[in-house]
Amino acid sequence: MTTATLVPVFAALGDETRWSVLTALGEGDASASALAERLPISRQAIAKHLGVLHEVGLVEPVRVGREVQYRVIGSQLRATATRLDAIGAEWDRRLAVIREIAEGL
Amino acid sequence: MSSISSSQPAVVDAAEFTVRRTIRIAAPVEKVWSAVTEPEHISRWFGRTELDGSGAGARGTMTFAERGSIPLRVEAMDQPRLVTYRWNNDDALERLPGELDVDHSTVFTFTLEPVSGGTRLTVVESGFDATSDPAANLESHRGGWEVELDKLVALLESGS
Repeated sequence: MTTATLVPVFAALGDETRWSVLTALGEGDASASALAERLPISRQAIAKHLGVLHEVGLVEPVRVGREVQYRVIGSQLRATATRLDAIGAEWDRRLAVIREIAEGL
Repeated sequence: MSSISSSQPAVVDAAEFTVRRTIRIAAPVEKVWSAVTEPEHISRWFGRTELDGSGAGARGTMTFAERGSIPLRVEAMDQPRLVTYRWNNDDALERLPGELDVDHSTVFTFTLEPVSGGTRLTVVESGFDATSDPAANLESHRGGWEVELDKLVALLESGS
């Protein structure tokens, strides 16, 4: 995953409400109506947030009988976490060299 | 004495999206300051660095063998406490911009704190959300919420 592909995912995640929707879905697939019962947000607002999360590939709709449930796509989140870890690891390497330089001055 | 905390989780300020690392260095603040601000030293821990001046507003490039020259700018400097750089680290760009492309850039800030026996150096890279101004975000989200992406991932994995 590149920085460019991180940007839309981060834009989607960078919202407290969407994060709570995602966390709620982490406990199990749910429809917008079911989420509206658990979260202090209207069904319409939840549907809108689910749309944003779907657009960047963080969730997918799944038809269950007559209702549409949403499921978190773990791989996209894992890729995001992995990319962040990689950026952190790059800084670990750079900081180690900075320490060597400063301690040798 | 000094050690790298390499096992830190990816702590993410979800509104800001930052990567943060801290290291303890057995050298005084002045020397650490030199290491993170003088182009000849930056060239050793980053790419080969050239700047057209010193202090906020200085522009230049960092050259990497495998990626070519990347625009770099000094955004803020408060000697010897804080220095902020903006760079085009976007590894997805097909062609590297000649001038700094703010929309596809991130900023990283070094903060230096004197501690007993040396310096605590913290680096924060932020602004992955290129649609917003990191400085404004920092201001508006001061005291905001932090989440650990790793925890959510773990939650999802345990549930599936």
